Amino acid sequence: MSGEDRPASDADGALELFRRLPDPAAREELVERFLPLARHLARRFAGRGESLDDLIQVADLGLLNAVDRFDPDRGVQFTTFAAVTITGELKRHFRDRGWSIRVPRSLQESALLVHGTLETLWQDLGRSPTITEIARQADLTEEAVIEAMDAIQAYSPASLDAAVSEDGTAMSETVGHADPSFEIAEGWASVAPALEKLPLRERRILYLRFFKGMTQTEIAQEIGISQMHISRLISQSLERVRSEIRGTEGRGHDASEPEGNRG
Amino acid sequence: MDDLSTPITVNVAARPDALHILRVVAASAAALLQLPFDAVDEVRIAVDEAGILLLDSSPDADVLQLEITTSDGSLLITLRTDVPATEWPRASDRESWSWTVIQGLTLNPRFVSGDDGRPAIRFRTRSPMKTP
Repeated sequence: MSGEDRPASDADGALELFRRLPDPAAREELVERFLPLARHLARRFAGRGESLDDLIQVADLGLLNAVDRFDPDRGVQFTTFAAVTITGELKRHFRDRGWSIRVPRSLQESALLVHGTLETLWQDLGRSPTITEIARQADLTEEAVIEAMDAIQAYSPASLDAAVSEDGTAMSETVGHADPSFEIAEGWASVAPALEKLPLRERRILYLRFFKGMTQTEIAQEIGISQMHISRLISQSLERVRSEIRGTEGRGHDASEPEGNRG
Repeated sequence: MDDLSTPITVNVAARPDALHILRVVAASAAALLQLPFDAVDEVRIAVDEAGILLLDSSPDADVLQLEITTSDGSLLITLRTDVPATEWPRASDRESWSWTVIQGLTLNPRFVSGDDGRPAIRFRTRSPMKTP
């Protein structure tokens, strides 16, 4: 990340600026100060069929919303709040527009076909199929399957994130009641606060994948949802943790430090 | 085709929106080795994370290069930029979220630096599965 793109800190008078709102000058200064964060998050969504300019506009809008809605008395870092708000705005943008407008119909069809074929083969074979097997079963080229993989990840419809498994079982039932005790290994300790903000199911999936060393297929069998769903949840969870970390970067202190403790 | 007798080298602009090209190329190579779908999926993620880490560390880079060879039945993947780094890896690179993810998804991930000082990340994919 270049110096000019480095997210601004919450410190250095930002809180004072928030307390001056709705003073237009304070609002403008806040927006300008945190624009690098918005631009950075916008670039993270680039390469998924939307122009970078459009994404920057969406992210900037998210930043404006964050500035207007932020309550400095709630003890939440603005960078954290803004990162979540901006990321949410970007994801909404993709949900609302990305799939139906930007992705060619043929790719949409291929993606759905690959998704269905993967589920079928996974059930039939009892393991993760190869790209060759998916292509053969779906009567697609291997290149088309790989293109579809990227499209599926980039354009997950909200319905696929529903908190129930395919058989209608409540997700809370499938993952059990106990919070997986995250034995935070070295390297993960610094992101523990971000991990703790993930839903229980996603935390459990990351735990099984990264700490237990289970494959996606094994996790899917353990939790009782499809491998494609596991794949998507891993990608989304990694992205969420990253956004959370980005939001807390540049503060120069522990992310868990209460707002009121900063100078 | 189940082997990569000739290394694959792809150069793209050092921009986040070019990473999807590298993801697709890496996934295609993984598919050639008959890696299972979930392993191919994680190759994509690892390449993405390595690209992000390098772009973060080399803001002046113009080119991001992906090189793929086969080694002991798995892919050996290297990403590098075209600008020598004064310090590689930095402490922040080792502590980054991207590196943490790469370590979790790949075998023997390493920060490497060529004679020309260009920063690179190299890792190995899982070995190919044996389909019945």
